[in-house]
Amino acid sequence: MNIAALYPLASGPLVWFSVTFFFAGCTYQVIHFLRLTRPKPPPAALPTQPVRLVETVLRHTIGFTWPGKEKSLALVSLFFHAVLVLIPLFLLGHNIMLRNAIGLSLFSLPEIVADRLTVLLLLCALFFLLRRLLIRRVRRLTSFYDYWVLGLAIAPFATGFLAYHQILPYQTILTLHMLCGELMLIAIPFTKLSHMIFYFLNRFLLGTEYSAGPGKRTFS
Amino acid sequence: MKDVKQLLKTNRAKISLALRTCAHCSLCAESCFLYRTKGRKSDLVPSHKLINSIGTLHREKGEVTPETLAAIRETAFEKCALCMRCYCPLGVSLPHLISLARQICRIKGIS
Repeated sequence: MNIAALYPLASGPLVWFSVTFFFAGCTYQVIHFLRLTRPKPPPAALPTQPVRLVETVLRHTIGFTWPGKEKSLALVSLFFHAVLVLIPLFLLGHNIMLRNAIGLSLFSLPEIVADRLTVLLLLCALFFLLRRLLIRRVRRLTSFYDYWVLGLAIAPFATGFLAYHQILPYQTILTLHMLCGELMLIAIPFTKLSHMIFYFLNRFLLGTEYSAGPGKRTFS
Repeated sequence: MKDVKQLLKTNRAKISLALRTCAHCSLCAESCFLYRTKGRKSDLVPSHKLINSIGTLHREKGEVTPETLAAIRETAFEKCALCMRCYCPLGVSLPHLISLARQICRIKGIS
């Protein structure tokens, strides 16, 4: 099959379909979450001791619990997820396509910066993969699905890197890159990648000891 | 058994959401005192306990063999103290769901 022949489809209708599906799916999940939870009564009183009060306020505003016990993993994870969102949004090539399509674009990162960040992101993914393979407690939790999800998240960046450096047939890799990106957008709301949505809903909206936000809701 | 199915049905969306959100990262491990004090065994990792207690019951719709039910009981009662100290970076409410597994074990007559 000639993948490059799919380029007009991948760069046109599939982009709009996947973006629409992504936003509609995310909206559905937010509504689903709000319907599963209900407003929580406010606490009877805030702590009166100054230190406890500051801790509580910090925890409820900027998230006092971060980065937890495994600081190196937390930092790698934070970097990975931040770059995972920032690169697609602020990549020059994407912004040029966006401007051509709707006449608007976002700020673009210098290409060299985006390229180096992509390499670091792929290294982070390798770290996660090795962690899954080598650490017993993580290996026991891991199923094929987890490798599939990791692959799905990384594929657009790996193919984007190959396309940028024109390592393999350009048109084929570029089309694959678009298809992988579209597949990832479609997968986010309804697979394990939905932790992108539920991280914010769980950590900021639910009122638990580890709430990083107002925590004004609870499961009914 | 109808109660078990009803309980699972009532909580299906909540369980499904928790299982889907869990990224199997094992970051919850260090927050479990049993994991830290009992030889750091992987079956004491909170997410492992979630998946192998309420996760199994959810997947099998409550129809599990006596052997599986015994393993779920061991996980929910003996491998978890329900101390509520487990920390999930993605905000999954692990102890609440493990307590649901306990509830089902009680309904099924083993605890």
